[in-house]
Amino acid sequence: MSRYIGKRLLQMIPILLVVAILIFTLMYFVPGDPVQIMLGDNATQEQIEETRAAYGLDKPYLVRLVNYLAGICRLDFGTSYMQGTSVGSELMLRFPNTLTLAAFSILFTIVIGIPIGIQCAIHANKISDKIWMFLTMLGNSMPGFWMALMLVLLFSVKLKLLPSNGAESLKYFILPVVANSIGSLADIVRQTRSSMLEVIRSDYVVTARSKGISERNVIWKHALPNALIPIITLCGSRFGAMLGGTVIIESVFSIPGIGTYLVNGINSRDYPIVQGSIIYIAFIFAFIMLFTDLIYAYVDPRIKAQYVSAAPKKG
Amino acid sequence: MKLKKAAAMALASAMIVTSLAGCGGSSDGKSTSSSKSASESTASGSGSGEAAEERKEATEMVDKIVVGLTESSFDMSPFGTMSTPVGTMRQNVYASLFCTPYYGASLEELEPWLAKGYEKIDDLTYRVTLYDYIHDSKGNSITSDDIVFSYDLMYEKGGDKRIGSYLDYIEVEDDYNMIFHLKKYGPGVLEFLWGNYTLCVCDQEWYESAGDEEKTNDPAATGAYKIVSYTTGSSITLEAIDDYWQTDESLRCSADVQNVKTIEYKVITEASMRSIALENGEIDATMLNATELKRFYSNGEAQEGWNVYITDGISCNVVFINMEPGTGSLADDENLRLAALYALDSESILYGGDYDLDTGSVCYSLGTAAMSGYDESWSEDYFNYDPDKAREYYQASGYADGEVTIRLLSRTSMPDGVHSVMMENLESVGFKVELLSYDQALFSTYNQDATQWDMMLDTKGATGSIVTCWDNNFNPENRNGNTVCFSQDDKLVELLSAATTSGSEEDIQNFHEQLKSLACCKGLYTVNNMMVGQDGILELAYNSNMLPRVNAFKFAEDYQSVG
Repeated sequence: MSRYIGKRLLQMIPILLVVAILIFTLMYFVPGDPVQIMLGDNATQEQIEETRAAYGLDKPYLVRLVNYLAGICRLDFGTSYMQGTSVGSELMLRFPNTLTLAAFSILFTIVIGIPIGIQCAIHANKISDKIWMFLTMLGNSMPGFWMALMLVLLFSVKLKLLPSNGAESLKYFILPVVANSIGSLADIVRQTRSSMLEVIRSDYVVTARSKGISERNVIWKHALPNALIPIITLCGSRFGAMLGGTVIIESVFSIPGIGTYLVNGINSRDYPIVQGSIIYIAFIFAFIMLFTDLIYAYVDPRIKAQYVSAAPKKG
Repeated sequence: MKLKKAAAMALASAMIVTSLAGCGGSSDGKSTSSSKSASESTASGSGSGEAAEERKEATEMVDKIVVGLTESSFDMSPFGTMSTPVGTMRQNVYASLFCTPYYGASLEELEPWLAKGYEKIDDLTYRVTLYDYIHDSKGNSITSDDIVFSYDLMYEKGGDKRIGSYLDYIEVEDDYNMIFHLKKYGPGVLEFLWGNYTLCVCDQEWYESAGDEEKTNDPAATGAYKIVSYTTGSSITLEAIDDYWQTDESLRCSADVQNVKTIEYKVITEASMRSIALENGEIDATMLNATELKRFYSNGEAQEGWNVYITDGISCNVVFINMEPGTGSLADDENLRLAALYALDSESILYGGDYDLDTGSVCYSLGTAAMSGYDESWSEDYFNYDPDKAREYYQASGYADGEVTIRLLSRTSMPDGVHSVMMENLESVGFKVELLSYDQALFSTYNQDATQWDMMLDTKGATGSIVTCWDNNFNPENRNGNTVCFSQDDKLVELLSAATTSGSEEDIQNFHEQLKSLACCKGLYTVNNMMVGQDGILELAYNSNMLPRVNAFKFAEDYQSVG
């Protein structure tokens, strides 16, 4: 198993390299001059050239690319043109906020979504199932920012229970987590229901029931583990996306996270910010996907066996 | 059946709760208030003026104020790039030679800060003398060498590049005397160089030995406040320095007043969330836009419990017509230019942006009424909206309706309503309009390229003087040999030179008339600065950037911060 993990970690290197080259090339060709934005309309050509040289922007594409890749190898993502701060340090400062938001959001999604999905599958086509399916459709259709504003108006402005913005303590994350989770929650409920429906109609579940095993055990011990794979996949990709930064939620609740940092960087053509943030997102996503694959193995012994048998045998 | 009913009830309740949450977002039924607000001048107006007058002003330093900041990305290290948050806080943390007491203050009105005074040797040479007891918050003494170092760094590290256009060099005479040698002289030059539009002074030795983190989070402050905590993108807290170097209260200027002990700035980028935070008691004051202001201000009156401060805007939204010969019909045909300029209804465009005559005003030049040198009489004859005249000019050009296409370059940050009204105005006289709305980065690139646009909507401001605003845009020396709209008119450049050198009314008038006769630009509207604060804040103060000077706010005796 450790060999499998090592192999997957090694596979991340070319992925990150390709992402780095792609994002660097895209930013190189995208119109919009960061030096012009920095210096404004009144800068002379000489001043523009000086600044361009100071940031190494006057060098040819290949030289800049090589310098950039060399920097990444040293875990140096460069310095923001506009803010003058180290991109790596800024990402590390913002990461805890994004992680808190993403982790609690996915936890909230799983803890609420999976049991509801199971209940819907057990009571398929009954009134409770229909109500939940309607609500999940609603959850999928409601834009996150609208939901966020409604929650703020209700819990902050009207009831004065929770703060409307900031990231000072866990209390500040309650509304953002709920707003951030609604869409994912709806998806998880629907996915769980669909997977469970498929499994609870299968022969081995009928057999388990006929053997007199309690319904609770049939559902939680026999059916659920076999229905979990697509749910885990969905949770993994959702978690990865959340860790990449949820720009709208971060903006509405003024949470200094990765998403807002990236968007500010794009708007000001701050290449080091954009490149550093994208590499970070690619790394996080690849890491979460690896983690997801490992959970597959934990949940399903057949998959674990495949991983083990795929490893070269000793002697 | 019962279950269905119960489910329907539950669903209905959920929907009602959600709907209710969205209703009546404003101030808990807080009814009317007090008196008129909105001053059209730079002085603050209070939404509850009468109430404010009745309340006694605090005579001692108040404990705390929490202020909402509009942007999340800023760098408070000494020579960090300018932004709205930096413009708000820089003058608290870093001193300059003189303090500009308010936007547009003249040289005579500058207040001594680090400098005791100055002596004019000739038009291009000035001796400046420093106080001999200046030290920063870390105990380093500040001398002439530190001033020279600060100017050099400010110029090199992304500060305002105009330092290089105005300042030749500084000659150090001794620790407390230095001579400024200028490249040019005129209205606004010394105000810009010496005042606190741009300069941050810090100790050279400290700067060269400090790490990046210290420079950002705990810089050596020469101003009256120091940074005590900074959470990236979230909040920053300043605290009045107990052993501030200027111990003589009578020598303090507007910028180093210490009316409040702790100033906490909270980043809330969304305007709607700032107004919610204000209503919710999470901040004491914040800048708002016109849409959100309506929650606190209507029919010229502030809601009870709030003070609303509206001051003149310092940036003009203006249209320029591309004058590069051969790039389009507008440049080659004066009738078309006049048709376009008379077609634009500035007041409707202002309303299109969700502003009104309380929250904005119409401009009648490339500049705003807040700038010194602006002449109110220009409003009488300045391409004033006249669709019939515009139509006549269009017909006189000989082009058929829809034959002339205007590529209108603008930014995505401009309100859509502004674009819609402008397009409707132009199309109604026969033009075809193609809107090219880009983000700031692309806009900054394309506006320098004469082949990319026929008409450009841009926002232009300047430090204090209208002449500076003109100089920034129509002096080829300041724009790599071009003017903002690629006009090539020697007379305009000559008149500009006369206006920037003398600053006399006559020269200003001459330039204004020449610019008008070229029919290459039209000032449309300015957006006023709008700030709302809890009613314990009796009076606001603004710095030279027309941003709140929080340390100099006046508070009621019974003021209680939300923080």
